Amino acid sequence: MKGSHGILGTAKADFLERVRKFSFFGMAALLVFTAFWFVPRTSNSGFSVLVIEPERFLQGSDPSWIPMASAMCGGMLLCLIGFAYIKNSVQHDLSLGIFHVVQVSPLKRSAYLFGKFLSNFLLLLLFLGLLTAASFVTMIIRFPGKLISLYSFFSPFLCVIPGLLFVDAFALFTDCAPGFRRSSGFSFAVFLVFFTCVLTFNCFDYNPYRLFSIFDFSGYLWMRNSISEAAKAVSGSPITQINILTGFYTRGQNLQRLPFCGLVPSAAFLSDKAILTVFSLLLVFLSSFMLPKSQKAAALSVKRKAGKAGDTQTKIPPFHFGLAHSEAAILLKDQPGFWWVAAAALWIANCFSPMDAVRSALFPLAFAWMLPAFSRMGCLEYQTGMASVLCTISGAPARQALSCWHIGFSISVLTALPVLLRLLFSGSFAELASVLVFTVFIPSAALFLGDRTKTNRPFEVLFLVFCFLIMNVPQLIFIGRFFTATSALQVAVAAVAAAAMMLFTFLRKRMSYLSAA
Amino acid sequence: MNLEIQNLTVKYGRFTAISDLSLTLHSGGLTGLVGANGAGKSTLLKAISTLLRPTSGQILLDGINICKKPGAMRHVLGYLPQNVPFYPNLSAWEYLIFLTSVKGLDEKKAERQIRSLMAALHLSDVGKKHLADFSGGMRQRVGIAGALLGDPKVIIFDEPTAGLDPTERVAVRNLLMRLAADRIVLLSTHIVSDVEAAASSLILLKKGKVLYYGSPEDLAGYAEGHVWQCAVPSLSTIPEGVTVSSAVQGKSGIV
Repeated sequence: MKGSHGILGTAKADFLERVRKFSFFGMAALLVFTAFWFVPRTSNSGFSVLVIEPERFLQGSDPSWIPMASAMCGGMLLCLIGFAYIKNSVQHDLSLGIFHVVQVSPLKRSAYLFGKFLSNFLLLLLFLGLLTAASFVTMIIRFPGKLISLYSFFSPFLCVIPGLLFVDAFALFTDCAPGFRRSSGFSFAVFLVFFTCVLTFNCFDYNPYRLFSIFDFSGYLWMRNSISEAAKAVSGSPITQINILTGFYTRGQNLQRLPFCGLVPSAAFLSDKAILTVFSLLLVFLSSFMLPKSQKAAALSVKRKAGKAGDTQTKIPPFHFGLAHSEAAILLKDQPGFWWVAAAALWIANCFSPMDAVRSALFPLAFAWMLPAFSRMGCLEYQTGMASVLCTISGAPARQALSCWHIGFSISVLTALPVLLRLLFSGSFAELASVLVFTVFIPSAALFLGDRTKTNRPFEVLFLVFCFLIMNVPQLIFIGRFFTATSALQVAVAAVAAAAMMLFTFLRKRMSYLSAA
Repeated sequence: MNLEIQNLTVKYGRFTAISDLSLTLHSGGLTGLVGANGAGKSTLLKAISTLLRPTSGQILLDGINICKKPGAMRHVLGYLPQNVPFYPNLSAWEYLIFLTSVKGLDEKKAERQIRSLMAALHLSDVGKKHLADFSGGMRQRVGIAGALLGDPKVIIFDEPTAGLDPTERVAVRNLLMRLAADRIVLLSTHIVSDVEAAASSLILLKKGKVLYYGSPEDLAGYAEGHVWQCAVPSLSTIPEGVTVSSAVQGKSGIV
């Protein structure tokens, strides 16, 4: 009884703490927006959420397409950005000192961690609920008077739930496991999650020991299987092509309507989800053993010698504040050897791999790997308390922001350098300009969001969404050799947005000094 | 209740924070722990509260070695660290309810305890405000309330009166003195007046070793013949070789 009371108390406190933050509302708004955005369009408008054999079937012609597209795309996004959102809950408690209070209490580590697990799951479930509700509203607006059965509507969303459990458990595991606790561990964990997604999308019929379908946390394979069964019922043959988040496609003649009836019940997929659920619970239990019972004094000394690698807050040296090399150290220090090796490997891969692979995978991965550096921009001063000190020094806030942006931009350009050079030498000047605007946009957005929200979470979530979109729709950045009206507008909007964010941040920094004076 | 520390040593790599420390604490009377910065006060408190595993030695609580069985201490401990932990977006009431569930307290009993502690620490009318909106002193009082939940038999506070105004400090001191009647209460502080007024015994730490353990009166006795009081005119320079422990500006000059 005491254990369950402890679990519920921990879950309740953690849940209340999270839902009262700005990042929760931002995340909720983002998911509601994606539900309205993820509406399969009947016309070939250049960007499509879900395309199923366009030469055979009418796209987005039935209300059942909406929950299927929302669950497929939104569920996958929710798992990816949900992972980034809920990660670090234990590290957050450590930084607040709450974890030490729990350590010296009778509450068992496993009870504490299961409390966190429950809170994270409730948050993800809440987000899924919002996505479902927004999808329902979208369906009613898009197809007024045409309703589908409850099972057809809800079953695609239900199959995402075991995946949320797994994402939750994996987030806690990376929070507790020693190798993952640093910011570079976050890069590695995100990379693993991305990689699993990519594998699942491309596995087709190859599914050894059903491993891909077990760890298919977005439920994509079950949904694809159900779509294929629906296609068989209409046309007699299963689907051979399904694309999500894609660009232009060629439409055929004499197209057939393709209604879905929700998930096709399948003992195999149900057992996969059951195995995933059990695996998730075991993973949480295993993670609880990695939580320290108490600290070893000797271990603490090692952490201190290694330049405070174990600290959750980085201290900004006051004397070199505003100088570019100090900002570089702040953004990039604390990254272990393997992070640099992986960054170099991705950089080299971008130099020599075929451009198609670079556009669709390697370039976004290289930027996603830089997340620990970008996510520190703009918010570290608030997290360490330096912001209030800076306000008392003439011109310091704006100077520091400029220096921070300068280093962020340098990191961005360096990461994109192989691609920039390859585009330059191949004469793709439109693409070159677009990628260049992207390299300006990322540090500007990082600085803007970090400064506005005083935390790294909103930028991390949005950045991961953006990297995921680029992987599926490379045309967002790689616009082709020549500008079209649409692509030129896209690039111009991004450039103006980047400039506006930079200007706004610098003006705000200047005003913060003046208002403090 | 007895807390016996035997040959406790805590080393951080080559640096020795606590060196072969032995002493015994009994319930009944508040024990003050004083020392300069870096003397080892926080390290000693962390070792006693089972947050830190010592390099060698043992700590016995009524005969049970808490270094090997930390649960024995954790069931009876009320610990407040130097930096008060809190969830910024929870109210004081919600945060204390969370602590009662972590400590495994019965719900109804917990609510009664929270109400009485909040009243004793003048927090009754701010129970619904978020902790992020609290001043440092108010948060300190919430931390004290949290540490006292569950009626702990061993109370360890690391600088509990830092950030409190004089009235609040007196209230906290009086509360701790009342509690110390039948508990082990160990209070680490830089504010000498707190231990002067409240402590029945003092531990003086220097570089990880106990310099003195006994009553404040006996410590004052050691100062006889070594400490004098005199009045000098204002703006006088202090002669070399003289250490001034305190100076108060008066009408006739500086005392």
